[in-house]
Amino acid sequence: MGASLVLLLGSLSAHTASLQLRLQGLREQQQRRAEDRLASAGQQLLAELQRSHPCLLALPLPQWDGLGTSCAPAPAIAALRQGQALGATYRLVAWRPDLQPAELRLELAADGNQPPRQGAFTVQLAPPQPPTQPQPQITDVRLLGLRGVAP
Amino acid sequence: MSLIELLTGSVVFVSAAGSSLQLWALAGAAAVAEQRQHQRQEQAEVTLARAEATLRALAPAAGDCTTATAQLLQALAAQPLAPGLARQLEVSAGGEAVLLRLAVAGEAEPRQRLYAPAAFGRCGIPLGGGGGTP
Repeated sequence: MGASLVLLLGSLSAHTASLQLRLQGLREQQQRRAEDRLASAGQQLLAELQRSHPCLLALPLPQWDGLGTSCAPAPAIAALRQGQALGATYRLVAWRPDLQPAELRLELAADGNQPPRQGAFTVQLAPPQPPTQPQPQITDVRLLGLRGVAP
Repeated sequence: MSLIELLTGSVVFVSAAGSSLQLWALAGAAAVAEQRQHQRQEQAEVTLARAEATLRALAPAAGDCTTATAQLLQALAAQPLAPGLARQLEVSAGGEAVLLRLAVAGEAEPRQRLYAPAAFGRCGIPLGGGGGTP
């Protein structure tokens, strides 16, 4: 009886371990999907800034609704602050061009059983060179990873 | 120990050993499947990283993003793909970004990422700087 119990307990623990491995795989899969959505949202937002409102690249986010309105219309700023990428809603949390490299932070809205997740990006900016290039220009962007609200 | 006790004990032991073997086999098969899936996911990560590197290697195209996007699409389509992955490329509505969909065998949803040359400064630079001065 003892030997039977040991056999059963041993195999049950192996089975539990494999289930845990599967669960971890699912969690990693969800995290990768969130990274995909954040990376895409970052590209979409930065591309729009570079193409249509490069003047905002020089301003930290808190100044967009003040100084920023002199070079970009308020609806455009509102659309930059919150948007959709690949079906996911994102919100611009921070833009810090004063840092070297500049920092961009976005938050994906909670979706179903997924919690809100934040992602940080580093953005390389080429400084303005008046008169040919009066605004900073993006030269590179990297997603650093998820952080903040996400577990 | 009587014969009945011996028989009962043997039956219990054989049943436990059988169940145990089944559980070990299940756990083993699940671990092997999980490892294979993990390898495919790693390959998908490599493919996405390679796509981003391709975007970084694009030559700057000043204001025209549709040309840069077309070049990116062509470069991504030419990249090799690991077994177990299927790629689908699509140009976004405005023609200014490429959507890469990567189906990984064994996963219900494909990985998908948007690649916009303007986000890397490869295009979209307004003539004379644009956008006014804040």
